[in-house]
Amino acid sequence: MNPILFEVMRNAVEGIPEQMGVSLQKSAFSANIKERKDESCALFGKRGEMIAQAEHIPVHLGAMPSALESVIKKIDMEDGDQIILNDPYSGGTHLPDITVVCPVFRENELIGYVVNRAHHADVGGSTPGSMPGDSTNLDQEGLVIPPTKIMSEGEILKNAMDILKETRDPIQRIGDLNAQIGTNIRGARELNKILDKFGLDTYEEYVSRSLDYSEKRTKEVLDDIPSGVFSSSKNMIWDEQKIPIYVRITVNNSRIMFDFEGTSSQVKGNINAPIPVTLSAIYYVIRCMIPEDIPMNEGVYRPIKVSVPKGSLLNPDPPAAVSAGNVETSQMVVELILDAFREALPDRIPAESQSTMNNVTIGNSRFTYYETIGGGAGAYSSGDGESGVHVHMTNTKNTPVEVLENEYPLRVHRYLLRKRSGGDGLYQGGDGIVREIEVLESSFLSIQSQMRVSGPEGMKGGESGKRGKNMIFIDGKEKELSSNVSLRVKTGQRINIKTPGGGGWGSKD
Amino acid sequence: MGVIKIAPSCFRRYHSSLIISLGITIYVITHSLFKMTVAVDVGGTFTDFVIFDDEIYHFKIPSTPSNPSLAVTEGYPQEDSGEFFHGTTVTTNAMLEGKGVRTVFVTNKGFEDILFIARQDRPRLYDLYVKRQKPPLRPEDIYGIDCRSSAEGEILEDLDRSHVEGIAEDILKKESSAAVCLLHSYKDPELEEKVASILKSAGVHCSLSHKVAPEYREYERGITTFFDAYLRPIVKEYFNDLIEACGIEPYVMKSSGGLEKASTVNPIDTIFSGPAGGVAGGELISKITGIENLITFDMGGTSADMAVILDGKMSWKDHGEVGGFTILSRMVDIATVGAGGGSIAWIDSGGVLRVGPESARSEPGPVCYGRGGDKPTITDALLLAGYIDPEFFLGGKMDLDVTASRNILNNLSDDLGLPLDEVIMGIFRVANSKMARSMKKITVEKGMNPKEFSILAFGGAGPLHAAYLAELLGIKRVLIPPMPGVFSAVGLMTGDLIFDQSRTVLTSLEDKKTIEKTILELGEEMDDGEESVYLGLRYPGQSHHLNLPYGDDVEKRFHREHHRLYGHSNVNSSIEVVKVHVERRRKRDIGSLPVKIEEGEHPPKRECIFPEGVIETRVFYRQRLPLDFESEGPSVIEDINSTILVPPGWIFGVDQNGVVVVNK
Repeated sequence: MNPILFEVMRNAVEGIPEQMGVSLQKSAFSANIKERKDESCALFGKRGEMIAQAEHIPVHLGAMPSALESVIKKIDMEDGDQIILNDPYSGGTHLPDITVVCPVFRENELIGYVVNRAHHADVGGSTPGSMPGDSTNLDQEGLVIPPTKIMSEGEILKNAMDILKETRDPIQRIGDLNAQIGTNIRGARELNKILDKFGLDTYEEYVSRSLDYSEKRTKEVLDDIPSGVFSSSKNMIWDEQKIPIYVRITVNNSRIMFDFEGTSSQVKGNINAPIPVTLSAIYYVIRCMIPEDIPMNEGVYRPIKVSVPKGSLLNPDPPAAVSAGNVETSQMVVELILDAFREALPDRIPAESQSTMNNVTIGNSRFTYYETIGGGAGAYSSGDGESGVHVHMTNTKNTPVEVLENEYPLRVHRYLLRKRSGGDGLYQGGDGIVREIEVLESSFLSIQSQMRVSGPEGMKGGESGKRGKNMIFIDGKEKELSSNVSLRVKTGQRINIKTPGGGGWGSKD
Repeated sequence: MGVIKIAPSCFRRYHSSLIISLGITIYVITHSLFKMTVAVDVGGTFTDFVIFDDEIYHFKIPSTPSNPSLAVTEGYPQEDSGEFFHGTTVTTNAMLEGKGVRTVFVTNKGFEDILFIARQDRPRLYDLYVKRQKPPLRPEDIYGIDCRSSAEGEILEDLDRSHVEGIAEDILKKESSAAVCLLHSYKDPELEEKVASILKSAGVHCSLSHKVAPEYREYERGITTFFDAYLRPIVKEYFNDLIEACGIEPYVMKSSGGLEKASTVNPIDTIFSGPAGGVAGGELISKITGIENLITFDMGGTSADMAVILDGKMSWKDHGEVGGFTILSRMVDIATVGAGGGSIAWIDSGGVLRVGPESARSEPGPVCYGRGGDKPTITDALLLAGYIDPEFFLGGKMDLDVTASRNILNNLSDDLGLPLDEVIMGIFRVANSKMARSMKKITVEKGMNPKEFSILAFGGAGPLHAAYLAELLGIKRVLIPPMPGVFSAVGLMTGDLIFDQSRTVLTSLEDKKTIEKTILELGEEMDDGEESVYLGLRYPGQSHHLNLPYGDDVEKRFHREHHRLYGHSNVNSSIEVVKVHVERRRKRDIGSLPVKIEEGEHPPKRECIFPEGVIETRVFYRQRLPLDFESEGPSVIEDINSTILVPPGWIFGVDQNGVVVVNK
């Protein structure tokens, strides 16, 4: 295929998930999908190979291929079918993320798949929002949907749709799901239009060339990393205990292997990360290392091999709870991998960033407020770390103070950069954030966070950033809370979250 | 002579003569007894003039970015003009280049960093070295005041006058401008007004958030107010220079596509003044041709701007991004793609031909300009394709070096291992496929299919690409307005005078009392005009809203529009009013665009490259095509500052208004 037709086809093919994304954001109900853009759309080939993806949240990178793989394994699909799932043990990540898979046929022949995934506002479980801080079993986190036909011969299956009646707002859920199903139909139609224009043979040649192209360019990047074996270990904190995670990376001959042998076994709490989350963290790091213009498809993943011991924190067996795996453990896995690369690429890897999303949920029977808080990014060899920002696996916006006070019985007393919390150095680590919220109505508070025991490490003589602190003011008295906590808060009490500063880079003198 | 009618007061007759200046044709009115209309659009590369009396003249002169008013005054006619319309990039450039004045930020204590935290997200998802744009605000220039309002607008803690007086003295010493943004001031501005009265009595000039952008969301309102304070003195000075030099106060094109007098316009509302002109002109073309759904496609040297005109109306939004900052201001909804005549073609490390986003800009420009550009661009490719006449570029006033383009593209062809003709067509196709992708996206965003639109193409390069772009999108009709090379300037004189005010209210749609009261209050500060009220509406719990005209059946229309755009609605749900928006419009009497038809021959046929191969192609001069003329592709129609390409299989004609209509 000549390099001109290739580029023309690339614009046409990559446009498919892009248009699906616009359509999904337009037609969905949940604010998570419409505003925070917590959704992804992708196009796959007939063997399940990822061809193009439009995602807004890095944690979906590895999750989409895993979901399709599990559907292909379990279900025979025909023209007009669509399959739904959210089971973290069958290609899901955490329960609010629901994936819908649609096979695409042309003249009775399977030519590929379109898939989309979206974060629903609620899928049942013990707390509104389906992200309980204290879950110990998947069933407490909400409705678990294994790969299930939701559409057959072009008709929505009412029985399957009825499963959603177990959620807190079934009408909204059905609305969101209809939007997801409609988005896939649109994607399938767009793919067929492209085939009308270019023909199946040209399309398939493009697909194969495109994967080879991304593979070739990814290998070029891997070739710039010195060969060798690099390792690192870090600790997650759960229930005041250190939970070790470990990686050994082998770079050799344009290939890369990630082996997590040595990582802790799965735990009783919810910081277990299903394998798609672990994959997403790996793919995120690779994505940051390769040039932006390389099409993100299976070719990028080909030189990557991953081995995670079964039953471990990063590849748990059911029914382990997983709600924080997606939002907390994923951040630490990124820092773990970056740290391992440090030996090979000393000047390219920044000092440690806040490595947490600082998840805060406040609510009662009348309202649920959930948000994640930014912090300090690590400094690097040529610049200061950014302050008060989301890093790595998330990029969701804050809730403005004025929106928060209009919608919830809460009042914000401080929303500031946490001055001097970034590690000192030749280049300064980014500062964390201070957010102090007064509860105006008796409520329940959940916090899921990390980096509360020690702060993000500095590099090359740079100092560490300050550790995060979760504080509560009761009758004017200050009390520090642990990193993962669920408790009652009374009217007038104030919660003060100080997020970690980033590590500094280089010695100041 | 075709149909001539713009503002009837300008319907007069003059002599004109041709002089040459700066290598560019300038028509100058030599004898004047009567008033004329002048439109000036300042762009990054050229400043475009359209001068209209009974005939219409247009020309370009190079912009003078260090002091944009120089180019304007240089080209401005010596004689008195009746009306002066102006589109400017002064505001945007001062913002992007950090050339505003020193500005302090005054806010509630405990919230001093809101402009730095912004919305806590990062601009690039996959970048280990996170960098955000920061406002030009020094840490020592931030003042936190101990005071607080609640979400209901009630004062929880009043301010200490002496503290604010101290701050005022400090600001005075710094000789800086001040921006004041206190929490919930959109609801109750009392505290902000107290601060303002203290600062003002001390002689400090300040911008107040409840005046600049009375919308909730403290970061967006705060940053908009900050840039208002930061840019206001610069922009006002520029307008004053202009008034002095031209002897007349211009009507300035606002980002919203409406016009307002320079003395009253809010500088921050002119942030997208430039591109809005073309879209305003698009509304006129929609009106005179009766074609209601248009995609305006303005492709110049570095980028292409696209906007949707639906049912004859441009679509607008109430905020936009400039240089990494959110600005709350009504603006035409425009999408920009990094593809222009100067976009560079290159081969990536995987061996694939890519076009843009890097551009050769105007300096050094494409290789054929002979100004030191050494990378092949779209313009070089289209010159070799035969579409652009090297002797007639910019109306014949700039010679293009065909040999230089050929040499550079031969290199590219060797590197790709493909014949030269295929590389030329390849650059064209790749650029078109990229723009088609964006165009498709903006129509899907409006809940529409591209097939339901026609393309209105203008700018130097728009009319060259439009037909092939249409083909990619299944669009069957392309329109090219008169004077496509300066159409944004033409659009300036076609806009209505529009005054806008809006405010966040957050109440139920049933709360008519608050809505009516807000409409009255907003109207108090506005000039007269035909009033329209829009409400920003949503279902409770949603975080985005739709802007719909206020009226009896607004409830029904909201459910319907929600269904059209998003595929669902909930007729049983209550509706929340997020904001009230009052617009007063003074309609200007615009008939149709004047058309001047010259007598004379058309150039000979020449060889052009098409996907089908090399074809002897008819060439026309646009100025010599009579109304109702019809012919077919392949044809090249040369206009001053622009070229229209009609591919094989397409036909074209000139309609009663002088619009070239190209049909598949």
